[in-house]
Amino acid sequence: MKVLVVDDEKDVQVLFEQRFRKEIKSGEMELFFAFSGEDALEYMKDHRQEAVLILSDINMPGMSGLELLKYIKEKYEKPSPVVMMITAYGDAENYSEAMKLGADDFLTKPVDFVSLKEKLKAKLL
Amino acid sequence: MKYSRFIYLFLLLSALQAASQDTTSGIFQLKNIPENGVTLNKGWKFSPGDNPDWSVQNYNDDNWISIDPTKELHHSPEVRKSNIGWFRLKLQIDSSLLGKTLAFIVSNLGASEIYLNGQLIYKFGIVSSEYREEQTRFFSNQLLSLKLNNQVSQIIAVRHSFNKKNLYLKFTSHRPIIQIVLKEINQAFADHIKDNSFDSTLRSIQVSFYLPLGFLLLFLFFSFSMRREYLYTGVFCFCMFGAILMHILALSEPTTVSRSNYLLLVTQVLYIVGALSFINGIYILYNRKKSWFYYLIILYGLISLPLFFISYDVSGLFNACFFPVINFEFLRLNVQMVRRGRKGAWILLLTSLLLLVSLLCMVLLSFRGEFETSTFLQAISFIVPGIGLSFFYAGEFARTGSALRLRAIEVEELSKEMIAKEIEKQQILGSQNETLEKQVVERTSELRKSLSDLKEAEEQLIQREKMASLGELTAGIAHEIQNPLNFVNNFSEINTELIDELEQEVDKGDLDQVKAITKDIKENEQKINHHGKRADAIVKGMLQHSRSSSGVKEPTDINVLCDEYLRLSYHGLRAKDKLFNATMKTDFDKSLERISVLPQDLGRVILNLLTNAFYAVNEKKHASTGSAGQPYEPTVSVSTKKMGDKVEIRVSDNGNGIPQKVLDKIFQPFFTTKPTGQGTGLGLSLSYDIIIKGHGGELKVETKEGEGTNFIIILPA
Repeated sequence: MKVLVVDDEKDVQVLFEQRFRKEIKSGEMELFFAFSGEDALEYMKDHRQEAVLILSDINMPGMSGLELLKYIKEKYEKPSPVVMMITAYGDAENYSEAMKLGADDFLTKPVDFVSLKEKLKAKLL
Repeated sequence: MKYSRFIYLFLLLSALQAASQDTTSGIFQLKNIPENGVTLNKGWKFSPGDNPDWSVQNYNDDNWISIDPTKELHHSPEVRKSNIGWFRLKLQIDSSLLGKTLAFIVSNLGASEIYLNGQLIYKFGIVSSEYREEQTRFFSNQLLSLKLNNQVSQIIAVRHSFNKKNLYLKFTSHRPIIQIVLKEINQAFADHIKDNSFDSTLRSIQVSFYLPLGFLLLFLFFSFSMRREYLYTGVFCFCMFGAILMHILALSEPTTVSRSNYLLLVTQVLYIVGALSFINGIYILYNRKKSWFYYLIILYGLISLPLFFISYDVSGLFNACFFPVINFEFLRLNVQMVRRGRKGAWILLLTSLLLLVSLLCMVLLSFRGEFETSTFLQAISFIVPGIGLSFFYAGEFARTGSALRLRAIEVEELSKEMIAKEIEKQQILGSQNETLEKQVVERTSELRKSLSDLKEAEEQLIQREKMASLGELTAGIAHEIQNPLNFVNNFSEINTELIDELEQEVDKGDLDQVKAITKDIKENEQKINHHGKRADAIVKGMLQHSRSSSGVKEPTDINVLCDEYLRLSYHGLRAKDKLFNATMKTDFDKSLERISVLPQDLGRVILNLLTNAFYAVNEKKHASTGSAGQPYEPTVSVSTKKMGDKVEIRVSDNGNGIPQKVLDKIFQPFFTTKPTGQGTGLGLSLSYDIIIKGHGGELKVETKEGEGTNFIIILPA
């Protein structure tokens, strides 16, 4: 399963690689990283249909996570990939906005990787 | 003669003389000597020329001209024409008078030698046909004693000269050429003494009356110079005094005719000036407008003077009428003023009436030949105006004095009242002062309280502004703090897992694996530490922002400060408005060294400017949504630059700019363009204070409507 992680914080890469190191080792998962919305779109253009799942932050300089989500859900060829939002803001406003735009899930920071793994496994099945 | 002064008598005498003229007989019959004497005014003969034989008794003078020498010179033109000539009179004496000594009372004008029966008995001056040798005399009533001889027929001859070059003027007084009055010797002496003493008494009364009165009035005038009537009536008194003095001098012996004439002329001038001054004074005294009659009187007075030189008869009459005319005007004014109720005017009315009555009496007495009474009346009437004035002024002063006394009492009472009122006022003022002081104290404390209230309110407002900007930051801060927490939590969980793995690998004895895991743990630990510190810094920054300034300057890296607040403000805005987006550009001068600033304060300024900038671009973006044309790219940039000994921080946006009309208000407190409740209006005002007062720097703004705004902070390095 190919997963694209979008976040402006560089340490996110280290964190995810460490958290999913067993899954990476076993070849269950393959992680890709983009550090802005624009980077993510660029990656997706290059690797068409490769990423089945996208994990995106919302608050980023430039294109925000919500904009990215909107773009993917509206413009991207169907079936659109699964997009899960991860944000520091768990408020209702943010949540409903994300859901309206078609987010498949909404997670808050700090990220609970145990539940994330379960959700990913559920998506894979 | 003593009547000579008698002005009105002149009229009478002229008339009488004209009536009693008798030139037919060449002989004067002297039968007896009455008490009043006999005036030798009939039977005289005159011849011009000079011959010593003409004094003798038996000279035949039948061809000579009949003449009356008691008449005045201008009535005898033959005398005036000839420089020298002789008068002769034959006396037919009653037997009872033969050899008797009689009194000859002589009046004379010119130089004369008197001969009785061919014998020179008296000389008046020096008779000569030559003007240079001649010495004229003017006198009246010279008393001589002469013894008649025993002849029945006797002759009086007078050798007389009066050169044409001598000055002769006609005045009101009667001055005969030669007048001889015969009297009983005893009677004559008695009369002479009586007359003289009477005359001198009258004169001294007149003189002594007018001189002090004149001085008094002039003195009064100099004391009350607005009372001009004092001046004029004073001048009147001096004129009267001067006239009397001149008159006395003119008649005193020995004097030449010319000198006498001059003195009499001066006398006349003084009379006229005095009379005019008097009537002028009365006008002023009564505060009357000058009537046409007044000017007529002045004209009358002025004309009468040259008349003396032109016509003898007219001038005398003209001059004689002057005083009745003056008195008429005086009377008229007095009657008017009494009618108008002028106080004291009745005194002057009485005066003028007295003058009128005495004038009439004098004319009447003169007609009846009672000259002495008339003279006495004339002398008395002469001082009547002076007495009237004195009484009038005295009355006036008395009135003024009593009025003043009343006024003084009034003033005293008033001043008492004033003092009482003043004391009352002082008391009122005192109590008012007290009240005022109390009020002032109250007001001052009120003001002090409201001042402290204001200060408090100001503090609160500043605090509110801080909290408002903090509110703007909260969302950003929350985001900023959740991110490091995400790392801290997860890396620490990973490390827990890794440590478990490490224990297994140790048990296995796989040393390479142990090393690799240890390295990971260490790296994670560093991440945990790093993000923990990051959270700490965020919290500290937030606290610093809400805290009031420490007031201590610290060396600060401006670039770091700017970057930190740029991120804070961006995330803050982004957190509030999810769809907000803007391009942030930074251009930091790497060569910038740390400069000494108040970091919290300066941070607040930068934050404020950035918040404004983001607000501006966001507004423009909202406005431009849906409109055609070039897509708008909201951009906010922060740059720093070293400029000599100064550091420039520039916060720029490409928003709508600031309209010119509000540009000069943006630094004013409470000025805001944001909707109510969104801005305190204190941001830029506080920023301005911080930069200018707190750092001695400059805060400038460059803006172009529709294109954007640059805020430029210039700080001393």
